[in-house]
Amino acid sequence: MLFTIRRWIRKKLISRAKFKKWLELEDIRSQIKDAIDQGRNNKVASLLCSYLSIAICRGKWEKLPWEVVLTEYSFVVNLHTPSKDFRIFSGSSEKKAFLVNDSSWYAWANMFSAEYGWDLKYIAELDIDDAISLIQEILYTEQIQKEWEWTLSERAIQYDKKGKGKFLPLDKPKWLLPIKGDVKELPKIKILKSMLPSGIVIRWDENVKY
Amino acid sequence: MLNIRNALRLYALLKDFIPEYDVDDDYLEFVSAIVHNIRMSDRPEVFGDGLSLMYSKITVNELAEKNPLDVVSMFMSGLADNKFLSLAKFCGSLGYG
Repeated sequence: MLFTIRRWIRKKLISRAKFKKWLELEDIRSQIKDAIDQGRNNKVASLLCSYLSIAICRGKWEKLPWEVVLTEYSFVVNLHTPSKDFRIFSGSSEKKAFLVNDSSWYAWANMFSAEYGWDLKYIAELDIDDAISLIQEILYTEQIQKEWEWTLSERAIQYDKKGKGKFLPLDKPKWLLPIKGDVKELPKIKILKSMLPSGIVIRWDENVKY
Repeated sequence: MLNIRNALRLYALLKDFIPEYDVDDDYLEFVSAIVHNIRMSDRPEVFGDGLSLMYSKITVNELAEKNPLDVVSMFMSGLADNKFLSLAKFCGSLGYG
């Protein structure tokens, strides 16, 4: 009976978090990982209880049997997991971003309000999947803009001793790199000389004829 | 059953003695492998530390007066009562190495 009631409560009363709450929960999850790495068990326990207090409801989680705590934790983590494999999470080995406010919420809210002009209330209530998809779009657009600006700079070309220039592409974040099998290399096809365009080619800048 | 704080302390205490092979949810085999690993190590005090976590009212003096076999059986039943196999699996999924 208790199991059935618990299942009903989970289904009816615990809903998937919106963007702001999800970020709060993810910040705690990240702190849990750090505390585990540092071997701080008391900190891990209190963070698990904080996570459940935000995700489910306030309560004396620290006094409940461990099995209840960890079962509920697994349930809510699964509930709040984004429903797609977003590419932005594939670059997990990259160093952590510096946060001015100790909370990722302000960083992302700033990005959304700058890009779309939305207010904080609207951003807080975004669906998790929509928010992450939009973040990817914003970061991708920023990267394209940076790459364009890079092509215009002097540093994009490296010259050898003979003065021959070679283009150096701008580094991309890991998650924007093509996944193996994503891009197929074009096969090299030899073309007969007779099939090449004929006529006189003029380079206008030097007024040289070929 | 232990609360989360003490359960994590128990896991931290015993994680070095957890068998590396798969025990197929066999509690008895799992717990007896832990006991075997502790006995083979040079850290017998782990029994006392583990028991004082699982049975908070027990003292070191009380343990010293007990038959060693009783101590080991108390230890094993404490691990079984606290579902230590499930705890170890949960801790593994949390990211404990």
